[in-house]
Amino acid sequence: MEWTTDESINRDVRSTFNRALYHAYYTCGIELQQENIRALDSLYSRLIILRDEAISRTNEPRANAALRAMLITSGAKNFLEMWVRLKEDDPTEAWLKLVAAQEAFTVAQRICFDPLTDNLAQHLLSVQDILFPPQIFASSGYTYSKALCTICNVTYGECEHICGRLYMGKICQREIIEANLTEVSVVEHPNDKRCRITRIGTNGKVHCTLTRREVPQETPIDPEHDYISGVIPY
Amino acid sequence: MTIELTDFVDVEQRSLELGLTPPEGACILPRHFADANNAEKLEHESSALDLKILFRQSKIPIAVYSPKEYQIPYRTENDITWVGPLLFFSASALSQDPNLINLTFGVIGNYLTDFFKGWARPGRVKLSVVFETTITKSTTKTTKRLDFDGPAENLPYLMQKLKELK
Repeated sequence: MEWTTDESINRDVRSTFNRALYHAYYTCGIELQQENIRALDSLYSRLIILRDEAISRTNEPRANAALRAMLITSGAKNFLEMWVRLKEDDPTEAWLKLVAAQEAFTVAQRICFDPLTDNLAQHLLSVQDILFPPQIFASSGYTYSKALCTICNVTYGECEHICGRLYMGKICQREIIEANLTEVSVVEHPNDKRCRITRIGTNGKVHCTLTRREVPQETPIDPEHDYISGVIPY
Repeated sequence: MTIELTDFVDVEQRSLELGLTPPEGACILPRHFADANNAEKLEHESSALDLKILFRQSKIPIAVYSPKEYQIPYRTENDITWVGPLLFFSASALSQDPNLINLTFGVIGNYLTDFFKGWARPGRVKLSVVFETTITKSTTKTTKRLDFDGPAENLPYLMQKLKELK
C-alpha cells in the first residue's frame, strides 16, 4: 500500500512492528516469525527510499524520523531472527542478532526517547541474561593519527559534526584511516558485544562458550596450557 | 564515584623535558604526559577530538595540545566507559576567565547527557583535570591533578572540587 500521509507511514510502521513483537517468543511458529521478518524487510526497504527522498529535499526532520523508523524496524527484525536462529540451533548467529537488535534500539532512543522502546531495550537485556550463558567480552585499544567524518569526509575534528549525532538522516561516525593495535583486554561492559571470547580450552579440550559443546580441533591443544580464542574489534 | 587529588608535574617544564613547545593557557593534554620517557609515548584520548569541536563551537579557548615538534596520535578503546581527556587549566587561563570552569563543565555535561541517551545501562565516565594553583605573595605555583571516575551526573562534584582547590 502506498504511503500518502505521515499518519499512514506511522500506522504502517506501528502495525508491522507490533505484529512482529507479537511473535517474538520462542514458542511462536517459525514460519510466522519468518513471514514477519519478510514484512519487516520490505518495510525497511521502503523506509530507506523515504529517508533518501527526504534527504534529497533537505527535509531534515523527515529524514531523521525515517531513520528512527528504520532502526526500530531493524531492531524488531533482528530480535525475531534471534528466535529463528535459536530454533535452527545456531546460537552464534542468534547472539549476533540479539546484539544487533540491542544496538538498533539504543541508537533509536538517542534520536528520540520513548518509554515503550526503553522497556523493549530492558527486555532484550533480560533475554540476553536468560537465554545465553554469561560471556567474557574483549576490548581492543588502538591508536590512529587521522580520522575522517562520515558526514562531510573532512578530517574529523576540523568540521562541525560530532560522532554519534544525527545529521539529515545519517549518524556521524569517525572513519579511521589507519590504526595500530596496541592492546586487547577483557572488559565487563564492552562497547561492542560481538567482541567476546568464543572458545575456551582446558585440559586439551576446547569448548564453545555459547553451547558448551566440545569443538573438535585439527591440531591437538597442549593440555598443560589453557587456551582462549575470540573476536576483537579493530 | 571517586575523585582523587594528586600532585602533578609542572606542565611547562615537562613539555621542555620532552622536547616539545609548552602549551599556552588551557588545553587538552595527552595521556602519559607526566611519565612518558619520550614524546612518542604520548597519546590523546579519542574523546579529545569530540571536545575539541564542542569547545570551538562554544568559543571556549581550550585546544588539543598539538606541539609542532611531534604529531600526537589519538587512542581509542572499545569499552562502554567514556574516557575523557586530560584537561589542563593554567593559572593564567583561570585568572583571565573566571567563568572558564563553569563553561567547560557545562559543555561536557550537556555532551554526556546526549552521549548516554538511550543506553540501557548507566554510563560511566573517567575524566582528569590538571590545574595550577594561583600564585600569592606567600605561595608559589603548584600543579595538581584531579581524577574522576563515576556516573556522568556526578561530574558537578568534580567541578566543585576544582573550584575549591584552584
